[in-house]
Amino acid sequence: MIDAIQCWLNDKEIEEIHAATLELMWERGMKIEHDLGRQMLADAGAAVDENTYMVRFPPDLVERCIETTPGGFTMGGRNDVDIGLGMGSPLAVRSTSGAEGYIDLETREYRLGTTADLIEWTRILDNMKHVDICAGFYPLDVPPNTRDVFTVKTMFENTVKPIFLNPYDVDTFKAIIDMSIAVRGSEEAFKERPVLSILTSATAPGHILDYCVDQLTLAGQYGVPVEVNTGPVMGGTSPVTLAGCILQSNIEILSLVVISQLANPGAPLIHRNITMAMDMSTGTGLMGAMECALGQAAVAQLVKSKYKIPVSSNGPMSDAKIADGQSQIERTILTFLSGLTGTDLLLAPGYVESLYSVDPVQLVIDDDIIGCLKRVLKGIDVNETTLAKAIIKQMTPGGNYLTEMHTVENFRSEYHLPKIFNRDARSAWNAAGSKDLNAKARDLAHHILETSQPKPLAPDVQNEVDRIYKAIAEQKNR
Amino acid sequence: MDHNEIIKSMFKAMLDLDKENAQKIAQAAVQDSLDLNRFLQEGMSAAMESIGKKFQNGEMYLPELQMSADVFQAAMQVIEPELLKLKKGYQEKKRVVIGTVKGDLHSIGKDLVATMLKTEGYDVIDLGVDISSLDFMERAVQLNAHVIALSALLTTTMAAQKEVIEAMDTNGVRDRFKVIVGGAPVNQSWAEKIGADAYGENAVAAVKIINNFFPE
Repeated sequence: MIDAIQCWLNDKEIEEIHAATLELMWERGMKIEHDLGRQMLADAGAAVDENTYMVRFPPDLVERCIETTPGGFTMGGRNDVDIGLGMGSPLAVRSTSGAEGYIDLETREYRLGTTADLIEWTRILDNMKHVDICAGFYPLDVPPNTRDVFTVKTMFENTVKPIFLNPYDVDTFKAIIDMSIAVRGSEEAFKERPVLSILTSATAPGHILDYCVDQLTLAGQYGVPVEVNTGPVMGGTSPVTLAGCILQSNIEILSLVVISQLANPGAPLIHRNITMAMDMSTGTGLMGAMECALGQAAVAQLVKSKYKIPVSSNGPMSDAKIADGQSQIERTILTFLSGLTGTDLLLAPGYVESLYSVDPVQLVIDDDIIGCLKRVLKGIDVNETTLAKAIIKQMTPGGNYLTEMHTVENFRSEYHLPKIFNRDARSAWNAAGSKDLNAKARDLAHHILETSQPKPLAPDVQNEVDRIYKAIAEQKNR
Repeated sequence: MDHNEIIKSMFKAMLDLDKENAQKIAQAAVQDSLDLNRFLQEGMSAAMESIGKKFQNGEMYLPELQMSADVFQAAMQVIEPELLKLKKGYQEKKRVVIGTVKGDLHSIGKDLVATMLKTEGYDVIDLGVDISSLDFMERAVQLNAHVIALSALLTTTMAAQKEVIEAMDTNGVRDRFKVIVGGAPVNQSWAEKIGADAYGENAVAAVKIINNFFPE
């Protein structure tokens, strides 16, 4: 078996991008709004201009902070499944946050997501074999300033898997951490095996806002893994060329790495780049374009080979508005490019319309697409058992292997067994209602909702979670 | 050079997005005492119209459109003082104050509308992003704006569009301006609900609607 990892940049190009990153971090730097953040950076040797808020990073400081960033870590939910990120762990998958729209499972119509939709979404996520970390959307029928906290509470109540989100501000983030510690049992246990991860994002081009520094600092204190992110749009908020876009995003992300590691050395991070394309006619930001796929894959290669810290990339993602043909094409290509480049964390099952909407039908289909990727990543094992010389030798010419014990023992590990792809004969397919992929995915989603029940939180944990939400909601929605 | 030739070469320079040449030709037009209203109509505006058509047909793209607005403005800088001296037949440009509302940092959609308005000959004052209600109102009053255009990309910030209109109501200046709103979560019913004059679904639509505010 050979490593299935694909390359998009050669070693010389990787070195060139890294050298240019360090050069521009020192010569140009980033605008950092946070007063204490700038002070911390100045104390560590950065050149700070207090008039322009521009901070220039010396190369050795950047290298040192990459060095203190853990090469990997483990997360876990309310069950005993460990989710490794980086350091040779198998591919992990998470959904993402940020959507506002929900596509109705039955009518397939679009609406702004509600609490009922969030519960339905989370319960389906909970049952997706390949989704390791769950994320939802912020329902519009609850008080606006604490929708992030409400979302985490609702998701804890409806899945045993860890939760990811993008907190609104430091106050709500602290409430979410308190909630997560309550779910885990203690602060120590939480640090050991976090049940929560977040994302914080630079503003391309070249700008880090106050809340980023606050979030990174608070996350580091409690050991909450952070995906340090930027989403430059080629030709909009970054150079139009892929190389230029990758370079700029690397500068922005490594700046966040430095801030995090200075505040809390050893804080767990994930390098997260969303290479975004732009529709050159409308200016719309795109996440499903092939340039996005290629750019992210190249970034994943750069991070894995040069920085050796965990990296996340979009996989199942599309600019289509619903689970249609375009959606399946874009997300399959993104999934395979990111996956085959060795990304540690693949995003964002169920997402359509770039980041604006989720579609539960698409979520179910994505679980099978990811299953296909995982099969390919597993590669071809060649050993005495798999070569099966003895069985081939004794096989009657014209016979079959169906009844061989070798088949029974090995078919489950050798095959990806899709849940909803249709492989029936036409007559059987007709007899079962001639259902296409979307109809089968919808049926499976219904089946999950009818037959499974979320595991409730322990009563004392539920009380604590309710208390935390009530307190922050009263404070922030006055 | 023949006046027709100058107008033709202006048309071509604009389609070529050749700023330097466009400025030179505009200077030549002023020096040769060309009919500047005709130069503007048949050279510059006709070129912008052609570029607009090419854009809508997918033959030209946003960066080119943006650049064409630049070229147009550079040439305008040359001929406008002369046009204003003549006054005759030259209508002063309508002024649009545009920006993204408080709490919202998205700029591309707003920039696009600003560009398209410039190419249509509007005097566009772009206030930028994260603009408070009072800033919108005060700047629009100071600048004697005709139109206020409010962009919001988030469901959490669209309420700020309403606040701008409320601020204008409170201060008794609402009637001075036409207000148009836009952005991903915004729609016609929201525009009506908050008392805006119009909703622009995209940049092209926004420009059409603003044109309709000022029938010739």
